[in-house]
Amino acid sequence: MLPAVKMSTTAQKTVLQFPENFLWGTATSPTQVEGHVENEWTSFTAQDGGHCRIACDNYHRYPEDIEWMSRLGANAYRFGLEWSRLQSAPFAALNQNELARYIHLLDCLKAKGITPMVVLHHFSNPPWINAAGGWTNATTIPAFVDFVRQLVAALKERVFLWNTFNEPDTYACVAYLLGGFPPQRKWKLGQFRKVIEHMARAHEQAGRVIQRDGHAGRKPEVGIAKNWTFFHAYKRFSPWDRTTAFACHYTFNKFVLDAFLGGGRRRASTFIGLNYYGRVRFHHFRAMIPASGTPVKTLKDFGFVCDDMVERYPRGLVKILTYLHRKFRLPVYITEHGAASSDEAFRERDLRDNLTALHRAMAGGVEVRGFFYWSLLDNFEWQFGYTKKFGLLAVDFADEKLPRTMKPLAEVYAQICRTNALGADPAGPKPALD
Amino acid sequence: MAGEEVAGLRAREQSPSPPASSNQAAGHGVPLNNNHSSAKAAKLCGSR
Repeated sequence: MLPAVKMSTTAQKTVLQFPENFLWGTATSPTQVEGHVENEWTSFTAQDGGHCRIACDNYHRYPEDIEWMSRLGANAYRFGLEWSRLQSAPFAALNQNELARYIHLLDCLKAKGITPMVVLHHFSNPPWINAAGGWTNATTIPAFVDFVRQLVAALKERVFLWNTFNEPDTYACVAYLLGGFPPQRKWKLGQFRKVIEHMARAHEQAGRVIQRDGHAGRKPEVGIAKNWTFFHAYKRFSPWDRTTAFACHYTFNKFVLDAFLGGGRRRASTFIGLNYYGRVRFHHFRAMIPASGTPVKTLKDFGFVCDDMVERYPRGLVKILTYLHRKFRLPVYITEHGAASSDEAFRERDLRDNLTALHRAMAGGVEVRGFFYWSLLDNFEWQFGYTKKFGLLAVDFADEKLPRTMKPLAEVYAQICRTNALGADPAGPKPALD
Repeated sequence: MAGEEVAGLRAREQSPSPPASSNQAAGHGVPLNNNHSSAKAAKLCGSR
């Protein structure tokens, strides 16, 4: 039975109410916010000269950051447990000091009424995994499953939402095809496929462990977070544009989804996590997005509406949610959505349009249980460093104290969290982004 | 875990690397190990 999604029948007809118990959260990842990590990103220098060795110092400041979540009125938080902190060798016992810190973090969340969703892999590995070839090596699978087994035993009283892999497609693509993430390989299609296949097998085994051993009062839930980007041809009848778009869709969407959720592997998941940002259109083999180096002015001339990263495409959210619902019949969490831009009005419009699309999909029968805004904080955005500002909270990286301040969008999101509804835009209706 | 224990935990934590108190590498603004071609790499799937 799907939870009720109602359109308000009061005078404010544009208020969109979400179901009771809907999760409104924010999201982060260890490498991007914690600082003091020892993984492949520690020695990595981003395009802006930045590194992740301090980041937001969330490692020490998590109580303050949880206080900020509470002020937002969020009732959920998606964050990662850094494998390299917790295990020093394959099959070693978990580091009890580091485990105690995560347990304290979880207890702080509970004290504020915030439900945790933990991510077990978010673009980083321990050094001893990388030294053995990372996820191109099949021996990483049992090592990861052992890590998960120990975590489930240690945390099942505090955690019931388990997110095994964050965007395996992005990880394998940017690390082994585009050369943007460590180990910075380029066009190694065989390694890309191996990474996906090994991660999918690890997810299948870890999912069974979580469902078997993770019961502690509440039934555990497990799933991956699939980044879904639409790949479209700019010119519908251009064979070049179409071929590129189809190749990307096939490789990053269909192949990956089939690997993780096809056949018997579907049973390893109880939900689908969806990271949704928008689409990429191709023109003469070129990805027409700012993140690929296409100038913003050029994109504007083409009529593309983008944030700092990709083209916005809110109606695509209805399409992909409906597709996933019909194909897999699993509940969905929007594990990430956000926009990187210094234009807060644009970000508000993006959030409103995407939540309107989400509500429409839910009204059409798709079971969505939560929405996590990416991100709580401005943070280390991988190869782009500190130039991409996804945070609800700004972090002043020029100040050693790394002070956090609310951005205007945080006030908007707080209102949504507190009312469990998307209210009418006080500035009046605006044309949709797409 | 008591607050004091967490404070102790933090005190014991040895920050592994940062030589400076900022997030900027030495040679500010110059990519050290991230070659320029990768800077232009199309980030087709996003990378949050």
